[in-house]
Amino acid sequence: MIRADVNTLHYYYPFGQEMPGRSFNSNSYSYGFNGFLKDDEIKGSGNSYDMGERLYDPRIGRTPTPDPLMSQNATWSPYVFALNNPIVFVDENGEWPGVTFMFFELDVGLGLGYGLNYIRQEGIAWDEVGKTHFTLVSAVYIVNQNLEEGSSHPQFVLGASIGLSAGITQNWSANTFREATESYSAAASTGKPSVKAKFGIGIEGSENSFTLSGGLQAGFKFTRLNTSVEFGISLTDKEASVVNDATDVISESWILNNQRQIKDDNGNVTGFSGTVATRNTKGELIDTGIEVFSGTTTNEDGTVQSNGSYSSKNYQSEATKAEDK
Amino acid sequence: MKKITKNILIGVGVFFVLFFTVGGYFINKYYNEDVKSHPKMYCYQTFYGPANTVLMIENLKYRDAYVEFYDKVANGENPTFDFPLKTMPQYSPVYVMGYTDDGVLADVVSYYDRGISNGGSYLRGWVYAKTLHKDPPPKKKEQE
Repeated sequence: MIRADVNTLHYYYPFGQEMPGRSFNSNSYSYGFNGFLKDDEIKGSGNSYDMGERLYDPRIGRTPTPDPLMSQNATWSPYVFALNNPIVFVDENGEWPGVTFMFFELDVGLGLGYGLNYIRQEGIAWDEVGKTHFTLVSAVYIVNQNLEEGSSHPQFVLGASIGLSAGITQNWSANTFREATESYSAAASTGKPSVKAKFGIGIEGSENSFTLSGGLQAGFKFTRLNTSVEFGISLTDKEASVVNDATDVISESWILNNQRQIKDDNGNVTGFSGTVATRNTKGELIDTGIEVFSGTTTNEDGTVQSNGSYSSKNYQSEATKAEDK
Repeated sequence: MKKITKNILIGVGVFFVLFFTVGGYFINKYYNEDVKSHPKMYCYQTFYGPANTVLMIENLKYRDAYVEFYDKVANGENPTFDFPLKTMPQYSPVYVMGYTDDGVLADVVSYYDRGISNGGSYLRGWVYAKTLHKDPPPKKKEQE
């Protein structure tokens, strides 16, 4: 017979405040609401938690210090907890979650299984490390579909819709742009099977992301599409500031310059490099000298694939740390 | 008049259903069969010594920059380029659909499965014709 001792027992209000008279703690267990470390010395038992990145007061549902990643989202107060909705969301460490995409999207599609669909998203993504300018393209035509041969990545279009919209996607399962686009679970309307019904304003959701978009879009369709990063430059916040400060144009313009193959001593191409440039109001190219390198993968058969996406060394090392969290 | 309009709408609807379900199947089938009836070759470059993947362009507006780049690569240089970065798989065959009039570029189709996050299992684009070979490249281990 095994006997277990109860170390802790708590009933919580939604924001984590302990219900009076319905809590027990033996003091041998230091963790409480949401698995956060209790910080009882200052405000009393259960009234202050260490979330990892900052403290949290469950009585007011607010943090005493701002979110370290507050620059990723200007629409929320940096002092809120779990986006003010602790029933739906879990705040794991006190930082703004995941990756935020803002994009413009062109979407034209028509089909009944076989069909035609072209989606082009251009925008900016903010993650824990920095910023990414990206272009994602999903193009399906009848001739590049492979439904009858049991393809591992079949594409289909069922329905019809046409539209031009702008939107924002929040992905909370990934910490970086490259992690989010590995599976495309973040990208609105691409990658995973999705249902799209937009009439002025569109809402899409999945287990990992939520998208809100608005624009001129009419129609209804189911799609499963393969996506390519047609273009991408990822920089740390500091490097992004250098590029944006180099121009007198208000809107951000990041241009790849001096792309080149990287070879090892044996002549094997192991990757690609380039520098980031921008333009001034006269249209002149200003090269910032910030080096970026393309993400390449070598498949089992030795094929080197490039996804067209470049990032700086600093971004890559910081992103690796962020993805390991 | 209303009856005619209704019949036209039904006819258009039936046409689209038939076109995309039956027509789509046959267009896809015959297109793929047609592609596979074209010469099968392998796309890789050995200008640096070992076999390396080849860059491709999907739009001929980059033709001049692309040809200039590969002319230099063929001379052993490692020049810069300013067209979008896309690579053609090297160890699986490509089907040669045709060439530009001057024979410098070849229009090729690859059915290599690049995965959902790299565009799937179909890729069509233009490559430097001198990078097409009848035989597959030696595997990396064999080259070493």
